[in-house]
Amino acid sequence: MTKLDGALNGAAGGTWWLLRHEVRMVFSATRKLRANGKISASWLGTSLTVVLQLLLHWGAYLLIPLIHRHGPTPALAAVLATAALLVGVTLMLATALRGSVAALFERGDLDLLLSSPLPAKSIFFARLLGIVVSVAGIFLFFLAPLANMGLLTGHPQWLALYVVVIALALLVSSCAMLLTLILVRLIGARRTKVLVQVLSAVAGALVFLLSQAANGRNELGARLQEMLHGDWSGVLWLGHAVLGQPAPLAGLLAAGVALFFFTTRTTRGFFVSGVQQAAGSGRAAAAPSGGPRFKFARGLVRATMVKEWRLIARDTRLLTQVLLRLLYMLPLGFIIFKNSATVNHAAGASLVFVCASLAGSLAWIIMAAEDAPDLLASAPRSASLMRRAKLAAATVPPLALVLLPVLWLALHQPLMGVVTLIALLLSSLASGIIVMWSGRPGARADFQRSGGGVDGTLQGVSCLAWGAAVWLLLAGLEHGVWLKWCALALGIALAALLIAWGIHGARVGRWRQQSPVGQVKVA
Amino acid sequence: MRDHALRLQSLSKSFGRPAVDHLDLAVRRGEFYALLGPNGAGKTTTLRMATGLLAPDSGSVEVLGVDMLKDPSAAKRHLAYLPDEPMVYAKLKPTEYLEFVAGLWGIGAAEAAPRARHLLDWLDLTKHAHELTEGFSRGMKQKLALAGALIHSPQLLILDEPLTGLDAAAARQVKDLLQQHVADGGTVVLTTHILEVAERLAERIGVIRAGRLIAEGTLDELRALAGLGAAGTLEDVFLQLTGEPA
Repeated sequence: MTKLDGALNGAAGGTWWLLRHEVRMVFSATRKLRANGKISASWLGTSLTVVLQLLLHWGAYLLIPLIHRHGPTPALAAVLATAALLVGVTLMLATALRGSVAALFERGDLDLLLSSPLPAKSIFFARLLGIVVSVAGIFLFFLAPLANMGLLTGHPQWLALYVVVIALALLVSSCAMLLTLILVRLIGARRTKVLVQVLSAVAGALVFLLSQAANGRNELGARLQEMLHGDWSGVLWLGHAVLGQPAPLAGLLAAGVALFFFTTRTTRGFFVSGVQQAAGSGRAAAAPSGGPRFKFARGLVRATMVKEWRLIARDTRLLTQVLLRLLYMLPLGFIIFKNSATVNHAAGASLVFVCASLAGSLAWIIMAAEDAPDLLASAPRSASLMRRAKLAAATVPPLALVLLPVLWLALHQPLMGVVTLIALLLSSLASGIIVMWSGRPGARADFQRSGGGVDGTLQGVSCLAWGAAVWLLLAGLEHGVWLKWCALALGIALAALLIAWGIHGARVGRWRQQSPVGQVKVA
Repeated sequence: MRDHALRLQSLSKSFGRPAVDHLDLAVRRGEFYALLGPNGAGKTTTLRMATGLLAPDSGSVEVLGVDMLKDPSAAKRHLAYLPDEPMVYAKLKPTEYLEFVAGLWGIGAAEAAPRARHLLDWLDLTKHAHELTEGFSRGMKQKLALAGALIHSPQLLILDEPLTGLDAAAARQVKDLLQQHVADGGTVVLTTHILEVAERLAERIGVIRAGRLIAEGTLDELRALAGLGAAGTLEDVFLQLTGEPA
C-alpha cells in the first residue's frame, strides 16, 4: 500500500495525475457527444448544461418541500427508495460494463500506458476510478440538485444521495470489471467483448422489460405492496441508506470502498493479462482446409445488401444497440396476441412506429456510416443505384421482422392488416429517405448519438406521424371520426420528408465541390 | 490522345488556397509513372481528381480516352484507386471483401473467382482468407485493398503511397505485383515518399510543388534539369528541384 500511497499525488506520472487524464477522456467523450460535426458546441453545451442544472435545482427546490409535506410514509418511502435504487443499479451496471469493455478493448492507449514507467497497479487503479467517475457522474448530474436543494431547504439527509451514488458506482464498477476480467480468463478476450456488450445492452433494457412484463400482469403494484408488508428488511436496508440513515449509509459506502480496493489490489495481474489477450483478440481461428471459397453475388444491389447485413450482424455492439430498439417491440407482442377478440388499433400503429424507427436506424448505419465511401465512389456505378441498394438493405430487415405480426393482423382483420402493411412500407421508406437526404456522415461507433441531429429529429417526427396516422385511420374507419386528424398526421410526415429534401438540396451545391464527379455523396 | 492512360489538362482545385494549380500531366499506356512532391504539394488532391473522387474547379481529366467529367462510369470501369489508408471493412473477411468489390465493378463469378484466388495467393493472404480484417496488420489490409483494386483487371492503377507501413516482404510483394501489372500492359501511377521506389521502378517521374508540375522526365532527364551528374540520386534531384532543405 505504501508504494500506492507514494503514487497518490498530483505530480506527473502519479495515480491522481493519471486519474485526471481518465476524467478528461470521459468529459472529452461527453463533449464530442454534444458537438455535432464541425460546429464546435463547447460554449453551447456548457450553457445548456448550466441552464439544465438551474432548472433541475429549481425543480428540486419545489419538489422537496412537497415530498416532506405530502410524501409517502417512512415505510413506503423506504420501499420506493429501494426500488429506485435497484433500477439505478441496473442502469449503472450497463454503463460500468460498457466502461470496462472500453477500458480493456477499445481505448487503445493501454499499450502506451503500460509501456511507460507507471506501475500497472496505478494504471488499473486510475482506469477503474475513471469508470467509477463516469458512472457516478451521469447519476449525480440528475440527483445532485435534489441533494443540494435538500440541504438548502433544511433537509440535510438528502445529502445521502451523494454517498449512495458514489458507493454504488464503486460497487457496480468493481463488479463489472471483475466480471469482465473473469470472463476474459474463462472464455478469452474476443468472446468476453461480445458477451459483455450484450450483457450491457440487456442490463440497460432490463428495467424497461421488467416494468412492461409487470405492467402486463398488473404485478408492479402487487410487488411493491408485498415489499411494504412482507419481510423484506434485507432489501429495504438499501432504501434506508438512500433515505440517509447513518448505519446503512456507512455500510453501503464501506462495501463500495472495500470492493473497489479488493478489485484494484487483487486483479491487476488479470487486468494486464486481459489487455495482452485483447491485443490479439481480432485474430480468428485457422482457415478451413480446401482454400478460400467465394460466393459472388449477382448484381450490385444483392452484393451491397449482403455486405451491409454482414457488417451489422458481426458488429456485436452495434447489433445489440439496434436490437435494443427491437426489445421495445416485445410489449407489442403482448398487446397483439393477448386481446385476440378485440384487436387493438394501437398495435398496427405501434408496429409502423417501431418498424420505421428500426429502418431509420439501419439507414443511418448503412448510409451515413459507410466505412469506405471512396471505394464506392471510385466504382463505375451511379450514386442513385447505390443509394437504392443501400435503402433496400436498410428497409428489408425491419419489414421482414414485422411480417408475421402483420400477417396475423391481416388474418384477423384484413382491412387493418392491409392498411398497416401499406403504412409499414411507406413509413420505412420515408425513414430511410430522410436519413439519405439529411443524414450527416458519421462513424458506426457513434450510432447511439445518431438520433440527436436534424435527421434524427425529422426521422423521429416522421415515425411518430406515421404511427399516429395509422392509429387515427384505423380508428376512423371503424368509428367514422378522426379522419381529418389522420390527414394532418400524414401532412406532418410529408413535411418531415420535404424538410429533409430541402436540406439535401442545400447540401448538394457544397457536396459537388467536395465529392465524387457526377454524383453526390452516398449519404 | 488514345495512347494516354491518364491525361490531366489545366486541372485546378482550391480549398481556400490553391491545392492544384492548372496542372497538366500525361501518362502513356503501359507506363510506370511516379508523382513526387513535398507534403502539401497537391499529390493526393491530384490523384483524387484523376480518379473521379473529387470534382475539379476547372480543367479536364481523361482516363484511357474517356472524359471523367462527362462519363464517370465509363472512365472508372478500367481504373482502380488505392489510397494511403486501405479501404477495407473491418467486419468482412478477405473473401467477402473481394466478393463485394467484384459486385461493385459488375464482375461475374466465372471471371472473379480464379482472379481472387490468384491475388490472395500471390499476396500471401490465402491463409488469412477466413479471418475478419479487423485483426489484420496495416500491411495485410493494404495488400487486401490492392487485391480488391486488381480484381477487375484495371488498365490504369492509381496508388497513393502504397508502400507506407509495409514491412520489407510485403513491400517487395506489392512492388513485384505493380511491375507485373506494367509488364502485362497495364499502367501504374503512384505517389511515394520512398524515393528509392520511384528511382528503381518508375520509367518517368513528375515532381509537383504548390499544385504545379515543376519537372517531369526520366531520372536522367531530371538529373540534367537539376544540373546534377550521373551520380546524383533521385533524392538529390528532388531536393534540388523542390528547393527543400536537405
